[in-house]
Amino acid sequence: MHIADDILPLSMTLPGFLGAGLVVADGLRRLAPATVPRVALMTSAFLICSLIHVPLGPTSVHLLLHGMVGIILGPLSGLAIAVALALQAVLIGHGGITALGVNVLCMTAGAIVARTVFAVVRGHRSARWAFLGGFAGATLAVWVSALAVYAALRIGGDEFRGLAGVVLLAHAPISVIEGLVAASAAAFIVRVKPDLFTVVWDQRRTCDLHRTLTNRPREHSTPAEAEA
Amino acid sequence: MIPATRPFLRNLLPAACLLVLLPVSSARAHRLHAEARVLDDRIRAEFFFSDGLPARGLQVVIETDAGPAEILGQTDDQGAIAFRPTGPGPFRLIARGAGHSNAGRPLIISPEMVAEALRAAETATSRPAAAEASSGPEPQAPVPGPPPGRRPAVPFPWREVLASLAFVFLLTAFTLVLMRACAASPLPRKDDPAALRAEVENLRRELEVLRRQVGRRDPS
Repeated sequence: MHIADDILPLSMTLPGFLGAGLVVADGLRRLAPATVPRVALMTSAFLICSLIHVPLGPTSVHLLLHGMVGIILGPLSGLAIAVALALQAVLIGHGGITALGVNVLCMTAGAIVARTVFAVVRGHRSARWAFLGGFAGATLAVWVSALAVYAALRIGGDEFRGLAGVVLLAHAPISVIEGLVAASAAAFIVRVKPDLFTVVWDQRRTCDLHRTLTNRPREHSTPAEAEA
Repeated sequence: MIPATRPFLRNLLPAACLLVLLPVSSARAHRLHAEARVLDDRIRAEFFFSDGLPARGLQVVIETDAGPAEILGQTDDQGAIAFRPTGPGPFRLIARGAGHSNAGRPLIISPEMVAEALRAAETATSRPAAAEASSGPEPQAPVPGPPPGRRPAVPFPWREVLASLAFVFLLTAFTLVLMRACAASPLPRKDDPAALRAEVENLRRELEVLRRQVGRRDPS
């Protein structure tokens, strides 16, 4: 799913970093201390998932899990995806450093679509709705990201235009598998820990750094935090 | 999710999930490795992943210190590509595919290896009959020669630049708008008063249904 180095032109990679920077900055400004472990957990899950390959005909595919990341983290998913993709590129050579910005945008777009679908379906109501919302959201997330990668390859990669279609088609089965995995996980989470879907983000959009610089005390975003 | 009155379905779903995981191979990294060796008068480069699987169908580009990079060809089913060097070297081979590349650590073909291949080529030329008998398959592509003195001017790709900018702008705007919408309407917590009231209301309805069922079975 991720694009390697030397495929996209500079006219796409540079603005890609700018766009990814905006997405990450938006997530950083909403990040509350209580949510940091959850973001770290989803980052590591996203990173590890890409190492498990399922053979599929002449090629192999792997779970993406960005739909699940989006459903759980919501507007903070850009943060987790950016860190995980950077680690994938540096540690295991999956995806390129220069294409990191475009890759982050493609995956975050899918993740946030999953969250939107889950919220529209109101998947937090019950396990049944969570299964439905998780399946629809994660499946759609794979297609959105695959379409974004397809468009990037079609626009930017002259020599990889033929490959763009293969990338798109290869993710048809993985979207179903991804949807089933996310749906089962979402249904399980609704049963055992439904508050995991309720991300504690700072709706006032002022990060700790900003508070420190302006010498303001922390404003608690939830009554539970204030009590703690 | 699945009613307790349907134990068959309850057992079937985990089994189906396990079946999906059956063909999962062992975890493997995507790091691309490469090796090169001299084969008669050619240099054979092999590209493979960390678990030893050949990297098939990657596009291989060859770079020299003197000239621009040129496409050499694609790796075969063994993840290999062979070529006959014509220059002194060194050469750098970079393989690229969707998600995989060794651009950060290109395969270096040393001048010594090139010299060995060139010597073998000279021997083959001096003894054509022997060389013909021992020659393997034809090389896939020749090594680029010296760089051209003056390349024709290429027009600036305005169309590609504008399309790239538009794509990134639209993708970023789409993501940011959805992120703001998500942030503005968070899912209610379970301890939220409104959510608790809704849950109580649901339980009341279920209780009412159960009472009716009990009333129908036992009218007295």
